[in-house]
Parts: sequence; C-alpha cells; structure tokens
Amino acid sequence: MKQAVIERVLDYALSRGYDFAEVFYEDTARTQLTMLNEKVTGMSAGRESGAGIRLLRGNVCQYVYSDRTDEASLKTMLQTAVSGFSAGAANKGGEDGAKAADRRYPGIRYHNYETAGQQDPAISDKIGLLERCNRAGLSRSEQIFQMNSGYLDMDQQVTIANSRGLYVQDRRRKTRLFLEAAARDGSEVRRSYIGPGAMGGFEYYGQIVPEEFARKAAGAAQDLLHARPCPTGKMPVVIAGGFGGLFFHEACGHSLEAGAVADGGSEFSGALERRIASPLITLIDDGTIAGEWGSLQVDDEGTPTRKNVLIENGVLKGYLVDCRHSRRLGIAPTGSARRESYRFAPDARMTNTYIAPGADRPEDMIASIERGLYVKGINAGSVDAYTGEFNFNTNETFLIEHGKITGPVRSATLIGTGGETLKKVEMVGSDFELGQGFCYAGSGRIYIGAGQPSVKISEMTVGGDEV
Amino acid sequence: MTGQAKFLNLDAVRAELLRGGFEQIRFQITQTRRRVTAVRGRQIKQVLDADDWMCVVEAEYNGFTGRAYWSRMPDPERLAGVLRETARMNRKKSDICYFSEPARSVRNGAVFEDHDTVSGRLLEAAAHAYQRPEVVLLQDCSYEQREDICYFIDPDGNTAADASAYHFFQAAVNAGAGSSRSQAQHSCYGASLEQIDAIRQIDHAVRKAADILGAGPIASGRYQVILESTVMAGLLEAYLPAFYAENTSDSRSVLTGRKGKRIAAPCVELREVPRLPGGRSCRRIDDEGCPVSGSDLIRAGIMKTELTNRHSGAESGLPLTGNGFKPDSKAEVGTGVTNVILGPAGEKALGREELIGRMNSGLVVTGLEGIFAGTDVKTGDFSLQAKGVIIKDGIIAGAFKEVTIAGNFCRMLEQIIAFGDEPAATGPDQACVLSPSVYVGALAVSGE
Repeated sequence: MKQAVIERVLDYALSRGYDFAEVFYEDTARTQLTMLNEKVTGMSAGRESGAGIRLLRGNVCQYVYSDRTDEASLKTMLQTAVSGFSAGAANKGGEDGAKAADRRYPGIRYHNYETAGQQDPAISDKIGLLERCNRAGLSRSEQIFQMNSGYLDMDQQVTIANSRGLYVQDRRRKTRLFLEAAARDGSEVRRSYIGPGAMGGFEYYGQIVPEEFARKAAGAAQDLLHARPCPTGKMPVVIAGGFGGLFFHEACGHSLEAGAVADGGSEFSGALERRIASPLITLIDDGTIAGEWGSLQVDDEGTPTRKNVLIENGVLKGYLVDCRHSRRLGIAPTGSARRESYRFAPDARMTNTYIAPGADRPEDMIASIERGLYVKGINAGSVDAYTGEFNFNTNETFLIEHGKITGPVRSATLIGTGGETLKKVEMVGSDFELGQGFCYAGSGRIYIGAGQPSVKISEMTVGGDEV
Repeated sequence: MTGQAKFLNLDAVRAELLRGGFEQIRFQITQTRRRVTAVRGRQIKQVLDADDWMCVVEAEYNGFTGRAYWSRMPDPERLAGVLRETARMNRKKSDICYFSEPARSVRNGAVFEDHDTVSGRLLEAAAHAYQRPEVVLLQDCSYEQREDICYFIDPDGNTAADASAYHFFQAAVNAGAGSSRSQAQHSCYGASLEQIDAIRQIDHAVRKAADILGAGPIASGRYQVILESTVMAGLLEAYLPAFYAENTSDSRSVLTGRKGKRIAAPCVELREVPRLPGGRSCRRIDDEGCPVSGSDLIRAGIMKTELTNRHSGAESGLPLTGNGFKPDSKAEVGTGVTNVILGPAGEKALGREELIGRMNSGLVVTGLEGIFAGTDVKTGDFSLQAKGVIIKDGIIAGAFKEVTIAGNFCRMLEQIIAFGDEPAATGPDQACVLSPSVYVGALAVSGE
C-alpha cells in the first residue's frame, strides 16, 4: 500500500470531521502444520493482506476493514460507512466531553523495524522438525502411544500511519511448536502438552533442542498416569514457575487493561497507588524482551513497546493503555495496543506478563503445606474484570500431603477473585521462567508470554466432583 | 480489486497453474460482510463495517492435492511453489466436488440496517436498562449484522454458491449494590432489528445481574440443578466435538462406541437443523460442496449419528452427513454444524415457574465460566465456575457465586428430568447451539 494513498485516505477522513484517523495495513504469510505420530494431518499455507481504517470522533470509534487496499475501494467503503452514521448527532449531550483533536498534520515521523530471523525453510523442513519431535516423544516410553504435534509460523509486514504524522513499518516474525503427548496404562489415558515459541524465525529451533520439549511433554503425561480424583474445597496452592504465570494474567492482568478500567468497569478502576496485592508481588508487562513470543518492536498503533510495571511491591502503579483509551483515562499510551489482524480495531492487551522473582525456595513452599495442591501446568482461564472473579483449569496437578508431593491428581478448576487472591500470595520463589501461549479477547487471538517464579497462595477454591 | 475482478482473475490463475503441470484446479471464495454497532454505558462506543474476501485454491500435482489461500492476487510462481510443496508433503488426494450447472446464483437475502437506525434502538434499550438502580454500567450492548457468501468453482468452471446471514444482539450488564458486584450477559439471533426486541433482551441480562447481587459461596455438596438456557447451550456446544466421527473413531470422544446406545434420558432429543428459526446458519451445502440435510444426534435418548466430512466418513466407513465445515475461511475443512437444538422428545416443555416448581429446591445456574478449558470431550468430565440463584420451596431464596460445579456430560444427559420452553443460543464465536433451560438433576458443587 503506497504511502501517498495512505496519506490521501487519512486526509479524506479528517476532512469529514473526524479528529483522528489511522490506517493499519498488513501483508502476512503463515504456515500451520499438524502431525499425529508419523502422519501429516493438517497443512495450511497462504498469504492474506488487507487494511483497517480507524476513525475517532471524541470517544466514538468507527472502524472499516477490507482486503481491498486500492484508493478507490477504500474511499468508497469510507463514504458508505460515514454516510450511515452521524456519530456527533447520536452522541449529543454525551457525558464524556471529548476533547477536540489535533487536526494538525506535522512532519511525518518514519520508523522502520524488522525482527531478525527467517521463515524461508521449505515445508518439508518444518515437517521434518515435527517428525523429530514426535519420534523423541514416542521413544520416551512404551506408555507414550501418541504424539500430536503442531507447527506454526508467521511473517507479518505492517504499515501503521495516523493523522498525527506517524508512519511506521514493522516486519514481525513468529514461530511456535505445540507438542502434545498421550500416555496410556490399560484403559487410562493422560495427556500433557508444551508449546515453546519465539519472536524470530526457523533458526529458533537451532537455538533450542526441540526433542527435549517433546520428551518433557511425554514425561509429564506419564507422570499423570494413575492420577487420583482431585480433592475439592478451599486449600493452599503452589503454582510452579513458567506458564503458571497465566494465573496472574487472569487474576489481574485483564483487569488492568484500559478497556476494562474505563467507566469503572474493572475491580481495579481508580485504584492507582493503592495496595491491591501482597507486598511480595511485582507485576510487569514487558513487550521488549528480545526474542520472546509475546514481544513486539511497536504495538499495533505504532507505539514502541516498553516495560510497564503494573504492580510494585503490592501497590498498583499503572494500567495498560492504548491511544483511544488514553483520551478517556488521561494516561499516556503504554505501547500495549494489540490486534489479531487488520480485521480488528486495536485494544490495550498484554504482551509478556510476569511476576518478578522473590527469595523463597519452591521446596520450602511445598514443605510448608499440610494438605494442598501443586500446580505445574495451566490449560487456560478467564476473568470478569468488573467483579474480579476468575477461573483457570489446571493440567499437571499434584497433591501435597504433610509437606510432600504424594502423587498426581486429575485436572481441576481453581477459582477466586483477583482482589482477594492477590493478597493471599504468601511466598514468591526465585525460580523464574516465562511460558508462551495465546490470549483471546475483543481484539482477537494474540500471542502472549506469561511467566512467574513458583508462588504459594494461602487459600483457593478447588473445584471437582469429589465433594 | 472488486469482487467481480477476483472471479475474472481466476481464469488467469487457472491458466498459469495448468501451464505449471497442475490438474483439477478448483477454488473456494468467501465474501464476508459485517456491520457491528456497539454501545457502552449510555453512548455509542464503536461501529464497524467490513467487506472482506478470501480465496482458496486446490489443485492436483503428481496425483496429490496441494492447497493455498490468499486474499490478494498472489505471485503465480510463489503460489505454484506452495501448491507443489503442500501436494508433495500431504501425499493424499482430496475428493473433488463437481457442480452440474454452469452457474447458480445465491439469493442475497441479508438486509443490513444502517448504524443510525441500530444505534437509536440500542441507546433506547440502554436508557431502559439504566432505569433499574442496580445497573452500574451497561458494559456492552451490541448488534452484529453479518453475511457470508461462499462460491465454489469446480475444475470445469461450474459454480455453486451458498450464503448464511444473521443479526445478533448481545448485552452485558454490570450491577452493584453496596459492596456487592455482579455481571451478566444475554444474547440472541434474529433476522431483523424488529424481530430482536432489544429492550426485552436487555431485561434478561439486567434481571440475571440483579438476581446475583449479594451472592457468595455456598456449602460444598450435591445439589439439584437447573442450567439456564444460555448456560446449557454453552455447555452443550463444548461437547459437540464428541459427536464428530474424527473423534469417535480415534477414542478422542466420550461417545466412542456409543452409537445406537442410550446416552441420555428418554426425554432427550438433540437435532441438527440447517435452517432453524432463531438459529444462525442457513447453509444448504457444506464447505466440501455436499448437501446439508440435518440429522438427529440423539433421539429418545439414543445416540443416532456421528457427524462426518468426506475424509472422516471415508476413514471411519460412516455415511456422509454434510458436516464438512471450515472453522474459518483460510482453514482446512474440519467437522462442524449448522444449528443444533436440544429439546424434549414427546414431553411437555415447562415455563420458568413450572420448571423451578418441579425442582422445588436446588440451584438455578445463570452463569458458567471456564467452559473453554474446563470441559473434556474425551472423558466427558467438566468442572466450571458457576453463579446463579438458590431455590427453596419453589421460590428464589438467595444467590450464589464463587463456587464450581462439576459433573460428567453423559451422566448429566442421562439424568435430565425436565425442559424449559424458551431456547437461547450460543454466540457467533461458537458453533450455534440452542437450548432451553434444563433441570439436569444433581451435580457437585465445591464452595465453602
């Protein structure tokens, strides 16, 4: 998409009375592969491109998207969209008192970024990688009867320009494996998975030993065999380091996103500088970590990413803010605007979110518990930012009895409210690790990192069938 | 590029691929038109308009099928390279669907209301909601109008087309009283703004949010339970893959080996209905070009059908059911459904009061969270965060939240006692499942 076309589209939007206009253009190539044991079961490869145009008038957002990016098509779409929507009249008497905007069009600020790495290897090389992983997992033990692996990569080139004179180009490369192992003993089957990923290209698989991850997933599935039903009720819980950090992603991360915070929509709205967590908790969202799966050079509004300290020693220090909500909240954008593709308007979301390491030893956490749970892996979860009620489902889960791990239990659902649970963090370990995953919300499916050291929570509600 | 130009360019793509040694070249093109109007609080928050196309090409190369997608005319050399490589690595040949007519037009039946008309109605509904003192924030009140048109072009250049369109309303309400907070949602499909009564729908969400104010955990134990319509629909949707042949044939479903056997109470009927009033999809052919006919998944408590696409049908030896759908326009064909509805077989559906009266004492679950991760298709087990109201002697006697509710999908179906009479549907980000409220008997609650 040519710069001149983008500028004329922005000028056209401003001429219609909008106070901010933005073009997000993307051209993305992706490969996705799946393999069950030795058989390729899925293969998807292709390229998609398109543009999303965002117009703001006060706090009202108008968004138009299409795969067609020629000037005539974009202007026709804008004309059609604008003619059916008289936002000013509809909002007359609104309570927000939106500030009139910068209609200025200063000298254009150019930025060009590119993630190192390359995605050029042939599909056969990528399939070869899955074959190696599946072989490694299957050879771990005779009990491992199935390896279901997946590979994905993305080479996304974006151009982001806005009416404030920003013009950014960024080339983003991502790659990830999904390795699921199934272990069987008689009729009992248990599964476990692991998903290493990076901001970068295929060279990542030369920097790690993928087979080790496959063996780790296989070992974890084996460890879960003969799992007993999970006890239920309130009990202390130790969540292991790594993607266990998804716990904080759900318990408080989403509730600190500007879209939730605005209008008093979050349990943490208006709580800046207040103590909301145990003094042991320092929560950080950092999109700048080199090579990390959740990292970006610039966010999806073109703002450079940065390290945002959200909670420091238990005190709320900041929110994750995008341009649009910065108007409502009066807080500068934090480089946190994310979207799945041009089909979504951006929203403030997380990048790599983690709890800073503490000084406690994981073994001391376990030794301190008479009866509780040790959660080594988390599948997924969700939260209601307004009430703070969150849930997450565990994967690798073990029973702690008399200060020792005594065996695996079946997966469980753990629930709580962010405000209460954050204050119940009693110990924070020194064994930090960052995991990789996806987050699903209003602006689509985005890649995120979640991490933490081991953490002990004095009490959580554990759900299950054994009551 | 206009939509017409995309079709015209297909001839050039076909010619280029034929020169490159490809055969049996066929295309699928999807056009998506969307319009979303969203209100937050008492103001318009966002409006969205989209017209988006995606093309998929499949072609045979050395006897195997290659596949690639694009949204803009690709470099022919690069496209041929991807097709060659996917054919070589896939090492399988896909079935090809031929259409008998040179062209068949799709009826463009979707009517799109403009943003001003819709936003006027939504703001009216918002003002209505704020008349209730418990309402703190109308978090979301949105209306989506969508049409997906699929064009299938076979190797002979014959075209078939199919379309699906819907209007969808949803509301999410934050309520508060003192230090107590609650949140509830409600949604429904319809054919027009007129048919979807926004004020009535928003009332459902407000009632549910207000009912839960003051709630807290209850004692752990086994309780008689009614799952309210939206909750039951959401839970059922999570277990639909249990009916897919690709899962039953690979022991990845709790329903493996259960076809022809009782899996539910005799009063239970579960059907797929392609053109269902109040549903979402109105497709006539699936994404493999096969006719969509609908089927009984459960009849009188007996499992009747395993859903197949061409591949899973051939692998399992089961009849083709026309359920070859792609989760999105770029993806490979998997298994999917049009509209699935749960209802009573030959039993009277009960009004809300009657249903609660039938249970007499127990819980009505009006919110269930964590379904995405807390349900297991392989074992049927579920453990989910729940909230709702407490029933004593047939009347509401309080509310509960911050508990989990757990059980097993099959056992729950087997112990269903009675059905309500007002079905509700899942949202557009899920398969379309409609269910009334259902009295499911006893489930385990973990709370205090």
